[in-house]
Order: sequence, then C-alpha cells, then structure tokens
Amino acid sequence: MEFFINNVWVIPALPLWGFLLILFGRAFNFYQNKYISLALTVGSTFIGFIFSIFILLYCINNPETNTRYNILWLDAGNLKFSVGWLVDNLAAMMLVVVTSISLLIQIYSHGYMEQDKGYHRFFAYLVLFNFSMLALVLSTNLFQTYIFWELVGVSSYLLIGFWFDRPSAAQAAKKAFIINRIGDFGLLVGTLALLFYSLNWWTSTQNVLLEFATLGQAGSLALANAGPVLFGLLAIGLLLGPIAKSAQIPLHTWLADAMEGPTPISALIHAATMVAAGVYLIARLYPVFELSTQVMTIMAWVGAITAFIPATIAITQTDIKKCLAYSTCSQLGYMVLAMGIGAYSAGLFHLMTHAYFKAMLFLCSGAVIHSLADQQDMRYMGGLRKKMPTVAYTYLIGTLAISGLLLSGFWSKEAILSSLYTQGKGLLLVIALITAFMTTYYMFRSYFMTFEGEYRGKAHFHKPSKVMTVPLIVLAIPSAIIGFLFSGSLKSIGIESFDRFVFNVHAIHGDHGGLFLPICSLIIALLGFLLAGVIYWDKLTSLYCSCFKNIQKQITPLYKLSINKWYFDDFNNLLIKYLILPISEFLSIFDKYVIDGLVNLCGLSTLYKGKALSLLQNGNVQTYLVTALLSFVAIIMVMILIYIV
Amino acid sequence: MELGLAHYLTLAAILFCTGILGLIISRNIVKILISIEILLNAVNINFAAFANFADLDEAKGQIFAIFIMAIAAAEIALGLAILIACYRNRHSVDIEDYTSLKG
Amino acid sequence: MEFLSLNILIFAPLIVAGIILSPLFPNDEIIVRRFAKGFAGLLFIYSILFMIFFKPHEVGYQFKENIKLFSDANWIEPLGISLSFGVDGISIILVVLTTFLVMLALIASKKAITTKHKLYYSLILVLTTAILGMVTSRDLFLFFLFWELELIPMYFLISIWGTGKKEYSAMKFFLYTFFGSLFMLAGILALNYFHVINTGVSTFSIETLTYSRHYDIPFMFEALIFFGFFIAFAVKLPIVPLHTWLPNAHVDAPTPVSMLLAGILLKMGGYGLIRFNTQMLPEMIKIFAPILIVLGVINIIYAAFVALVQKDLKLLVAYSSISHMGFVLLGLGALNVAGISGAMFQMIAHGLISAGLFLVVGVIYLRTKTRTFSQLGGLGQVMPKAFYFTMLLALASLGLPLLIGFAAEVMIFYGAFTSDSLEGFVLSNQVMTGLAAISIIITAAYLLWMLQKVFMGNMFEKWQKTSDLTPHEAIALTFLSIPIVLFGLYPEGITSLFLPFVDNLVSHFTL
Repeated sequence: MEFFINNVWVIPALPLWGFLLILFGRAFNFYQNKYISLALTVGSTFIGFIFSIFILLYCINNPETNTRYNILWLDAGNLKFSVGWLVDNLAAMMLVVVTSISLLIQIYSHGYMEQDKGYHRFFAYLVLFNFSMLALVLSTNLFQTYIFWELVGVSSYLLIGFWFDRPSAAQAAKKAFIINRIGDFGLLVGTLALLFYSLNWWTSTQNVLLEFATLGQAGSLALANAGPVLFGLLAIGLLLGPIAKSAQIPLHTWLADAMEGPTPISALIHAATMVAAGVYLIARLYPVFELSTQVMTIMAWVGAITAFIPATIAITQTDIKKCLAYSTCSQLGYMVLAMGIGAYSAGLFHLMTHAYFKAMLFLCSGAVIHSLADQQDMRYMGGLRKKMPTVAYTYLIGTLAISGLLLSGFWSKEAILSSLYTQGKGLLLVIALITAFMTTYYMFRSYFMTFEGEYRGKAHFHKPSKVMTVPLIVLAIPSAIIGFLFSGSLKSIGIESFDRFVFNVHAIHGDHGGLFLPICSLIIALLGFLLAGVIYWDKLTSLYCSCFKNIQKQITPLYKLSINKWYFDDFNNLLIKYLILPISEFLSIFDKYVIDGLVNLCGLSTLYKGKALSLLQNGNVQTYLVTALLSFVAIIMVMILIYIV
Repeated sequence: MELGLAHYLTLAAILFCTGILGLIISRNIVKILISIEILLNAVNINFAAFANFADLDEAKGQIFAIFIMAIAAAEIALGLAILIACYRNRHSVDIEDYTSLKG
Repeated sequence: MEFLSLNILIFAPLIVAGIILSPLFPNDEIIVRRFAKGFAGLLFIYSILFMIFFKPHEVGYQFKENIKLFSDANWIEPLGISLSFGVDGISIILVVLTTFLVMLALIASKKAITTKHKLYYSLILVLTTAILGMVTSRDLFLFFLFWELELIPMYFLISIWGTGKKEYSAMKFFLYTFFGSLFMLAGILALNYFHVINTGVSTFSIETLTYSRHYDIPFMFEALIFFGFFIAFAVKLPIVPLHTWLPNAHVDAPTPVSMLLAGILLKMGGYGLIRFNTQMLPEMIKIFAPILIVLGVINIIYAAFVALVQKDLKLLVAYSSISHMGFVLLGLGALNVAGISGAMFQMIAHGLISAGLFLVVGVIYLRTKTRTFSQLGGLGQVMPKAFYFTMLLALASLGLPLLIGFAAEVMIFYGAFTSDSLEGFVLSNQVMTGLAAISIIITAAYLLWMLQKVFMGNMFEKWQKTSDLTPHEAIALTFLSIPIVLFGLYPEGITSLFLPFVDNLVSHFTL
C-alpha cells in the first residue's frame, strides 16, 4: 500500500506520457491504428484508476494520511514556487472520482468518435486533460493549482473547439477560455495578495510557498496584516477562480455554450470533473475563506443564486444537452452553497455523487444524439425507451438520482439541506428547496420528452453499440448506490460516512436526526415529478386539467426570462459591444491618428520648413554671388567692429 | 611722384571691383568669363606688388602670378568649352536662362 | 577553452557577409542561401559552446577580449576607447538567442525573399555582427557604434525587401531610433566627462563606469543621463508613446526581418535598460522606478486594447509585442530579484514566441497574399500543422502554464506585487500589478480571437487549395517550439544563467 502512496506521481505522469506518445506518434505518422491511441489513453487511465483505488483504501484505513512531496520549480530571489503531489483523503476521493469516470468515458468515446476523422486528436486532447486534471487534484500548493487550473482550462478550450470548422464551436471555445481567464485573473491577483500579506511568515518558516497544509496559518496572518476589507477583496479574488471554473453566476454563461464540444467531453469535463474543480479548490482554500464570514456569505449566496437561476432556465430548454448543462450549473450552485454555509463535507459529497450521475446522464444524452444522427432537440425525440431500453433505464436512474428520489443524489442533497436547516439559513433553505422542485421537474420533463410517448423525429434511428452502453451500465451502479454507501448507514460493515472521511475541523455537519427534512424534500421532488408527468407523460396527461392548459400564457414574462436565459448573454454582448470594443476602437484611433499623427506632423513640419527655405535657391548664379559678397562684407565689418571695440 | 605699394593695391582694388561688378550685372556668359579674368588679374597685381615690396629676396609672388595665369588660361579654355556645350543645348548665352540650380 | 573567442563570434558574420557579397561568390540563390544558413548553424553551435562553458556564478564579464589593432595600446587610446568584448549573465543568453533566431530567420527566408539574394544574406549577417557586438561590448562607445551599425542593414532590409509603404516604414524606424540614440550619445559623453573631471582619466569602459565609480555625479546631470539612455531604449523597446514605428516596421518588413526585429532588436531596449539604466545608475532607477512601472502598465493595457480591434493579422501580432514588452518594464520597475529576472525571462520568452508568430503570419501571407482578418478563416482545415503551431505559440504568448511565457509572467507579477518601489507614489505596487494583470484577460481575448478568425470556423472557397507548411517552415517552427516547451517546463535552465547577475544587481539597491 505504501508503494502506491509513494508513487502517486505515476497517476498524472502516465497520461502525460500517453499524450506525448500520441502527439509524436501521429506527428511523424508512426502509426495509423486507432486502437493504439485508444490503448494508450485507456491504459494510462486504467493504471491510474488501480492506483487510485489502492490509495483510497489506504486513506480509509489511515484517515490521517497527509503525504506531501515538493520539487522546487521556479526560484528567483524570495520567489520559490514548487510543484509536487499531495495525498490526503480529499485528494484520494477526487482521484477515484476522476479516474473512474475518465476511464468509462474514454471507453465510451471510442464508440462515439469512431467515425470522426479527428479520432487521434480527440484522444490526445482527452489524455492531456486527464493529465492536467489529475495533477490539479494532486496539487500541493495554490501555485501548482493555478498551473493546472489553466491547463484544464486549455484542454477544455481544445475539446470544446474540437470541431473547429463549426463557427459556433470555435466561438464557444473562445468564450469558455476568456470567461475562465476572468476567473484566473482573480485567482492570480488573490494568490499574489495572499502571498504578499504573509510573505514574511513564509520566508521565515521555510515552508513551501502557498502550501495547502499551512494555508490556514498564513491566511490568518494575512488577515492580520491586510485588515478585513483588503482580506475580503483578496478572498473574493480567490473565489473568482472557482466562480468561473464552476460556472457560477455571473460567469456561468460559458458552460451552456461549451456543449458544442463532443458529448463525452460534456460528460467528463463540463459535468463531472473540471467544473467540479472549482468546488475542489474552494475545499482546498477553505482555511482561507472561513476567516472571513462576509466572503462565506457571499459564497453561499452566489451558490444559491446559481442553483436557482440556471434551474429556471433549464425548465424551458429544448436542447437535451443544454438542459443538462444548466442542470449542472444549478447542481454546482448547490455545492458552492454548501461550502459557503460551512457544510464542507456535504458539498464534497454532492460533488462526488453528482459527478457520477451527471456523467451518466450526459453519456445517455450522447447515446441518444448519436443514435439520432446528431439530433439534439428533445421536441424531435420521444418514445425512445422501446428502442434503446438500456439508455432509457440508466437515464431514469440518473434522473431519480439528481432529483433526490432516494438514489445517491438524495443523500448528498439531504446533507446540504440539513446543514442549511441546522445553520438556520431559512431563506437559503427555501431557495434550495424550490430549486430541488424545479430540478425534478425539468429532469423528468427531459426524460418524458426523450424516452416516453411517441417518436416525433424524422431522423433514422440506429442502435448504440455495446461500447457505449456498457459504460452507462457501469456508471449506473455508483449513481444509484454511492450516496447510500457513504451516508453512514453502513457503519456496521465498516464503511464510514462521508463526512467522517473528508472533513474539516471548523466545518459544520447537518444532523441526521430529524425525519422532517428528508420527507419534506422527498415530497417536493415528488411534486416536481407529478408536474412534469402531468404535462409531458402521456400516461398522466389525463390529469392535465384546465389549470395547466394556459400556464404558458399566464406566465409569459417569466417564460421569456427563462428562454432568454435571464439575458445574461445579451448583457455580456452589450458590455462587449458598447464598452470594451468602443474603448479599443478609441484607443486604436488615438494610436493611429493622435500619436502617430504627431510623429508624422514632426516629419511633415520639417519637410515644409525645408520647402520654405528652398525658395531662397532661385537658381540665378548672380544672386548667389551677391549674397556671398554681402555676407563677406558683413563679416568683415563685424570683425572690424570687434577689433575697434 | 613715387609709385608706392598703395598705388598698386588701389589699382588692384579698382580692377577687382570692376570684375565683381561685371560678374554681378552682366547677363552674357562670355562677359562673365571676361570679368573672372579681370578678377584674376587684380589678384595677380596684388601678388606682384606684394612680392616687389615685401618679399624682395624670393620671388614667390611672381611665381604665383605666373601659376594663376596658367590656370586662368586653362580655366578660360574649359569655361568656353562648357559654354559652347551649353549653348548647343539651350541656344542661349544669357545667364538668366541657366537656372537649373533652382531649389 | 582557447578556441572560444568572442572576436570570432562577432566578426565572423561580417567576414562571411563580405565573402557573400564579393563578386567571386556565385550569384546563385540556392548556393548563397545554403552557405549563409550553414554558417548561421555553425555560429549557433559555437555560441552554444559559450553558454556551456559560461560560469554563471562569477560576477562580471567572462571570455574577455580586448583587440589591439596596431600596437599595445587600446583602440583609441587618448579617449580611453577600446575594442573590448565580454559576456556576463544577461548577455550570454541574448547572444545565444541572437544566433538562434538568425539561423531560423535564414531558414525561413526561402520563399519570403525573391530578389537580390547576395545582398540580403550579407545584410542579415552584418546585422548579426551588429547585434552580437552590441550585447557583448564592454565599452560604451563601442556599444553606441554597434547600436548605430545595426540601423543600416535594418533600413535596407525593410526598404528593399519589404511590402506596402516600405520606404516610409524603414525611414520611420531609422529616424526614430536615431532620435533616441542622440540622447544616448549625450548620456555616454556626459558619463565620460564626469569621469574625466573626477579622475583625470578618460574612459568609456562599462566595467569601470559601473563597478568602480566612486564619485558622485550631480543629481541633475545624473537624471539627465538616465533619461538620455531611457529615451533611446524606450524607442527600441518600445514604450508607449514612442512605439508607432513598430507597427509600421513590422507590417512592411519581410517575414524573416520581422522575426529578427521582434525577436532580438526589441530586446536591445530591455538589455540597455538593465545594463545602463539599472546597473550603471542604480540611484536613479530607484527614484524613477514609478515611471517605469506606470509606463509599463500603460504599455501592457493600452497595446492589448489596441490589439483587440486590429484588422490586420500582422498588426495584431505587432501590438501584442508592444504589450508583452510592457512586462519587461513592469518587472524592471519592481527592482527585486524576481522582477528583474522575470523581465529578463520575458525578453527571452517574447523573443521566441513573437518570432514564431511573425513566421506564422508570413506563412499565411505567402499563401493567401492577404493579412486581413475578414479575408481569412477556416485555414485550420487545410493547414493543420500551421494551426497547431500557431495555437502553441498563441497559448505560450497568453501565458499558458508550462510554456515559456508563464514563468516570465509569474516572476514579473510576483516581483511587481511584492515590491515596494512605488513607495510614496499615489498608487501602490499592488494596485498597479492588479491593473497589469487585467491584460491576461485581454491578451487571451485577442489571441484566441485571432486563432478563431484565421484558423477556425468556415473556410472561404478560394483557400481550398492552400498548402500546409513546407519542410523549411515546419523545421523553423519546430526549432522555435522546442525551447518554448522545454524552458516552460524547466525555467531554471534559463534563470540559472542570469540569477547570480541579478542577485548582484539587486544587492546594490538594497545597500
């Protein structure tokens, strides 16, 4: 077991190695066979998965594990940045989540991308992402996190823009990267500020700069040095990183556009792993954030609003992937909300369960889209349960899980809700419950529209291959049971509850005593299911009473708000169109005509002065002679005068 | 009346002024060349006069005067040749027509 | 190490230029190019040897040379001018960068240059001599001489082989630099003057004026000297508002010349700022650091915003150059080890990246005969190799971690943020650095926009038959990518060369 802990670097190193092999193998055309790329990718991830499992087991047996290894990477003066690897319970949990989901999605991708001419490129990007994500998980310090934070961003950029000949994909990729860069900006400035205000402490104690293990002490020192206001700004800067990466409002707009990428990517990066990295970073930076209650409150509210608004948007989406994307947004909001109120392990618990079921949901949607020849609009689906039962039932499991109807999502959501309840955050609790209601509604709506009723589309249907359905079935297992497994109910057989495993001394835990909240949330979820069923399920439409008939008309303004995504995109476009670009245009014109104009003016004025003086040269030799003579005489006169005086 | 240095210098100055005046006012290029000769002769007189009055032992001034005469002869030959070449082009010996130095 | 002679390194290109230009040399394009290329390759290998045998931990110049032409005396003994060369931590790396980029520029010249080959290749080699002489001279006067010498081949390279308003651009470049160097000459003469009146000995030796200057120059004059040098280097770097020659020169210069211009010549400004303004006049830079930082931030933000709306591919890259050179100023203004090392590192990083970007622009222009964004699009479908290389370069340029630009930016941001060189100024270092950090968003915006416009999206019918990189271009770009990735992963490889120098430099401020 020690072996795996000591050689944990293998986990990210193998994908990097795989990336290089694919890159050079393809660049010099050493091989053509698709299975080589596939084998390199899957093989590296599989070994990583085995390692991760053993590491997780080790961590479960030794809950106090905290193994760190640092290499000095950049050394200039008092700047000493290191990279390395850190294994603790949190990292072990994330490693298993990332490698297991990656592995399944890579196998699935083979089926999804087999016909694509960019097969090798896809796997190269995929394995590059794997490397960055795993190295991000294993980061020992904030600086290393920043490095891989950007690298996962660029992998995401590459994969969203995988079909770069589609203008919308190119646009979406760019948007994702730039919005993430706003977050990176905050993270960078926050990191620098944190370092600045605690620099003396780092240099005097000889600690590895910005290492997570000692970030709490440094944070409190920074608070003392900077004062609460500056420290708050610093923490908000740091928070900006997760806000962008985890698609929190107001930097959430890129996530829905990111669905332009291939669906396996949406499942892996934009649902399960990378977007969750924001929450992971919040967990890592928790010792800093918790020093400022204001920032924690802001975080909670950002999370709550993000849970709420995208849920309302998801209600009206007709594109199945967009619907799932907004649902991801909303669930990430839950996690951030949990973090913000101090429910540290509840948030991470939800991260884990959500990773599994959302990855599975996306893969299901991918199977549907693939089978219907790239049809993504749910209005042209329907009745697919009979044609692809495996996909339909796994999707149903995912829907039940995300809705909190007793599968894994129930346990993690319940942990968050009970934390809200114990903390006495009434308003936030109400928002969370309304969101839970909407979640059930739109998820079942998508399920009914896709799999029940009659087929409304025209596209020719062909069955998804085994290589695509098997990962779905495998993913369905954790989606169904993982919540229950770690809920603490199985203490008797030795499986500890999640919050015992991943914990933070200062964080709070919801009490699991009362039955009121679970029942309440179940009822709310059932209500959502009923509403969706009544409107969209042909077996329940008999209940479709007149009160629902005109519902769309009655709430037109709200409907418009939802379908236009609360005008966030329009606002951003206006901002760019009427603020950024005019500034740029102005500066460009200023540069061209004012600065360069002045320069040219200097040149021109010299030119004209020369022109004016050249008029004296009339070409008449005698004039020159007279001038010379007169000058001579004048000089003589002056000399005589000087002599006399 | 004894002829002194001043007389020679006066003569030279008068010749020089005449030459300059000719240079300035004459429009015919041949006249200008003649004026240049007059100028050179004024210089020659000065040289000879100074040599005679100030430098009796050596004859540097006279030698210079002879040099100048030789050069003047060469110059007038060249000048006239150029003038003829110009005349072939412009059909004019009027200095007013030669203003290609105009800026 | 007897075989390592800086004289050979510096003057061999000049001699080879003479050989190429001589009427005896065959006037055949292929022979001329291969000869020049082969020579540049040898020169690069030779300069690498210098780097290998360089001892980073020794302070001061190494491989010292002092050519004595006719007797045992210095070159111009009465004035104390000597033909003396040497390299130290900051120049060795620029020497290698120069020979490297000259080699690549010659490789890239294959299709970009179509006329007067002999003259072209010999001018490039003269330029090489000028640049190498500039970074290695140990004498102020000699430095000035090479500084001016570099203008002549550059003027002709732009005005003969350029495109568009090439004469105008060449003249603008020439006059601008000349304008700046006048002030520098005044500064050099003033330094000499004060040395003479204080010690009675006339000298232009950089070492003497740097390390053994024990007298004080009156504040007013020292400030004037500082600004004399500063204006010269500000033109070269370039610093807004003295930058307008750069877009013109870049747009109209042929591709290899753009590579050299962005890759090396701009670095001369940074080199001069470190060598003279910082090392020679440490008292002044402490006082005027706020100016450096303010101008640096203006450079970074202003040029980035301007780049955002450019409609010409090459103009965009040119403005991104200006923006990136602002980081050099910001790092220098920090006046600490991290900042100055970062500035140095940024010069190397930008040298490699911008040379690559200009090469890519040239590659595209060669095939499409246009650089306007509205005419381009979707080229990634027909030029995948060019696309990947451009993407690598663009990502390196926007500071993607583990590529070379990132280490530089991190060092500069860290240095500038933790510095207190702005003490007593209205805005603190932290605020200024925060402002500069906004550029990481804008830089990403314009570079990715460039990628999207040129390589992604729909393709025009007419580019259907565009060919991908030729082996020459691919080799040049591969050569450029290797250090970009290598030193991105392992920045110590570069920093270890100049860190002792910078440590020593900074120790003079903190005294």
